[in-house]
Amino acid sequence: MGTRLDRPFLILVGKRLLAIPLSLIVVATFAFGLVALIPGDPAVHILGQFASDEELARLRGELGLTRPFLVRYLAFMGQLAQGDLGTSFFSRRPVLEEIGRYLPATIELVVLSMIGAVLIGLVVGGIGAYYRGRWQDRIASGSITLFQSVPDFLLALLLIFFLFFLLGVVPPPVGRLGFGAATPPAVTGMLLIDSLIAGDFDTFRRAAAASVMPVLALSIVYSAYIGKISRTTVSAALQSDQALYARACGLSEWRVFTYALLQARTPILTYGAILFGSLIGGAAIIETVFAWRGVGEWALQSMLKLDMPAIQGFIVVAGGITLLLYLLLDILVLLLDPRIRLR
Amino acid sequence: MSAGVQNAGMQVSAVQPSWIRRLLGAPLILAAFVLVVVLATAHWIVPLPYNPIMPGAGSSLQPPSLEHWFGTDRFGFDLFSRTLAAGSRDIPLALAGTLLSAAIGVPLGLLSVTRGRAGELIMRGLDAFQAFPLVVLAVAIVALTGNRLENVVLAIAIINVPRFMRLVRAQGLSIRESRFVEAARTYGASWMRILSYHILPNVTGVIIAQSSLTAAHSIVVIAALSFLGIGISPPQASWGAMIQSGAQNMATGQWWVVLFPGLAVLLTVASLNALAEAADRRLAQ
Amino acid sequence: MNASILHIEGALTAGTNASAELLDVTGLTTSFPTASGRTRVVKDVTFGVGRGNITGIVGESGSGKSISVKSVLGLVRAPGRVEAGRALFQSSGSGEIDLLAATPRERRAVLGTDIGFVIQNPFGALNPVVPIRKQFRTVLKASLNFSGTSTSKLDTIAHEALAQVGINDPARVLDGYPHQLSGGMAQRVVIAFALARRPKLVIADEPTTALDLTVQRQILDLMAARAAELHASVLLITHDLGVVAHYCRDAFVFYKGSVVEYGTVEDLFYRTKHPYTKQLIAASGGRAEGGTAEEEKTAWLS
Repeated sequence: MGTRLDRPFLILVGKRLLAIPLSLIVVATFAFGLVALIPGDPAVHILGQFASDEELARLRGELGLTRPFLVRYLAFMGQLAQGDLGTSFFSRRPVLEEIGRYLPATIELVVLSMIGAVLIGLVVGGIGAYYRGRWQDRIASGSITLFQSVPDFLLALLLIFFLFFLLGVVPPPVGRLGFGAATPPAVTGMLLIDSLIAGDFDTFRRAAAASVMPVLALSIVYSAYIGKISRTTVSAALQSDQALYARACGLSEWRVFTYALLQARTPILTYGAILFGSLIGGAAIIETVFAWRGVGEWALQSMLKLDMPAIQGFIVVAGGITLLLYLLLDILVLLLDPRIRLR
Repeated sequence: MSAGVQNAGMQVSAVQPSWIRRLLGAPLILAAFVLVVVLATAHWIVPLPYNPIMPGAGSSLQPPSLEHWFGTDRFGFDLFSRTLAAGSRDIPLALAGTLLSAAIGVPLGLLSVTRGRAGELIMRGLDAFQAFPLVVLAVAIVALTGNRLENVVLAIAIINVPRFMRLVRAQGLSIRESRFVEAARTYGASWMRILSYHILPNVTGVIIAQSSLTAAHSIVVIAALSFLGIGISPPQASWGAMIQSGAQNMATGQWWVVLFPGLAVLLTVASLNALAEAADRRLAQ
Repeated sequence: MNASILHIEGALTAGTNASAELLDVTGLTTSFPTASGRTRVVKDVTFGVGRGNITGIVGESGSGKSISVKSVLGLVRAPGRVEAGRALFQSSGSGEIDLLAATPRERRAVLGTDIGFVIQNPFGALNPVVPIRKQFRTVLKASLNFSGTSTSKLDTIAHEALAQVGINDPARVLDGYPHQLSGGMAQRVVIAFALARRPKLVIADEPTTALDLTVQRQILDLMAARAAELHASVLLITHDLGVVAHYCRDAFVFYKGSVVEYGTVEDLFYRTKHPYTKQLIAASGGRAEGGTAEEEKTAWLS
């Protein structure tokens, strides 16, 4: 590929980096606005329906809910600038700490699921693209539509039935490790990595087995999106002049296909990054089904309990991770596509 | 319905005659349409074998049989009746949400076509919005505005407005740049007239396709919401809630409690997707 | 212009049965599905290229000239289908081979080794995200003659080939990407791709239609000269009668999927037989008949 880390490249990356704090402010404002404008009353959720009015009023004051909107907004942004995401209404612990506790589980799940989704999606989409219009394509396209139509929790339950109940090849869906297993010393918070670092292969196997069903469910459902974009872009590349010319030069079909894949990689990568970002929160239901204790499940519970700081904190963190992902994607695209920079 | 407006070699038709026939021509598509209609209305039209919200006496967790075609669940509800009843809640909800989001999104999108610069900025904002997992957003909206049915419709409408806006804007922009709009402007047609006479008829096809797609996605969102117990109060029937009540039984082998409502969701979504694809192919140019 | 190009060795036989033919296509029929059923876009077509000749295929767009050639090369994909025909080619590796009956592997060997292809849009041939050097290597390796050659040797060949098509700084072009080239330069690169393998036949499908007028002549002259040096035949597909008159020895006239006339250039212009050919010539601004022979010749060959 050659080194292209030259000045125009650095300037473009610099511009993107500068845009991040601004975008974060927008995300944080949106998070605050969304939550602060809701009509629900968190005090009722915390103390219950039968609490007296004085108790409710006192709690609201404690939680800072009685201050004017602008004051609350500025306090929120001020805290954020210092890296403080506030304190959860329920657990009374810093939101940042809670997120830090639950995030690694989600990251582990999301990374594995994305790998699965890309593998499945590329294969199915590639088959559909190569055999476009013929029966292999019908099966491929049909599969893509099927995967897209299945709600992830339904697929998860079906997998539980087939893999756990019928075939018994996976452990019961009771969390990342199941019962009675000790967690390895936390280095990254991700079980698979930590157990490898500690040399604990037994725990590694347990964690891996426990992740089969949730990862499979998410991979299959999300592979539909990758499959769709792959099929479209690779198919277009295969009908292009380049493909015709390559064949006319006597290149093998496999070579023609990989060339097409090369031409199609930018949209596929872009889509992959978007999916990754949306999976941080999008895996919430799967996390709930499998008692995964991930950040999505936690955010869901926080929403149902009207735990405002928690919800705000989650939106900011999820938004921040997504912005980071888009930055990485931009850098990758700049590196890969020569047309964008060499002008 | 008017036939076509020919202009300098570029043919633009207003909505063509018998578009219903064009859309529903193929037998498979027709079957899909019929299925959705049946699932949505069976509750009111056909007498159901059992009362969907009254548990039967002493017959819980029965596998499918002649008495109970889909079996019964933990509380003794007959699943066949309940599945059909759930259809008459979920599908109209999805359609209502879709309609509302189209009603808001399409005019906004058309408006943004005439505005240009401001439209670009708004689109960027909407892009960021789109990347957010929509189910989570729907949960947030319903949880935060109150656990009621109307808010489910509202949530679906909100999360889908950007899609319609973006779609209409994209189509509208490409038409706006076309020759015959240029010609129309030269003879002094107002933007209102251009919108309604030239742009709107041409975006109708994509709107219909997108609506079907949105409806399909909304079914999934509604199922997810009721799976989490949001926007629904027992003993109301909803596919997601039915799946939830049978969830723990999957690990113990009573597959029918989850499978039938699950199949209903799957078939409905697949049918709506197929309709969307047919609309895309036959109506959108 | 270099008139010697028109007098390359050998007398051309008017028919297509002579074994001196390099490429001999008979009875080619190709069909495509359309809204009204399966349509034959190429109907029982016969054409061929003699050794060392520059043969033209001329016709309007939609006449089936491109599809005919693509059919012979095996480039027609489903749902299009070659229904009948024989395409005998004198390959270097496998002797006489019927391209339409060959296995994909055999066909690819011939395409990679003996046939060079130049298409209308040079940017359509070159992959935008792969450096030209790598693309050149891949194309060269597809030939049986170069499959075992070392990378550095391949690069040398590429370098030489680029220099021979008139590119001043081959090294810079090799290191770069297609979008950095002008249209004319890109087409030269494509010609270099085609000729570097020393093919027996160069097929050029409207090679200059996408280029500026001033560049068109240069490119065609270049192709003709280089082909002559390599003793390669050229099959030139074009809608431009002037090009045919100038560069080709003989030509096939295509109309609506069939060959309506064939002959040497002189026969075609002075002893035109088919009414369509007459129309073509008339529409191009020349006159099919009338005027002194010398006047016509000068008008066309200038």
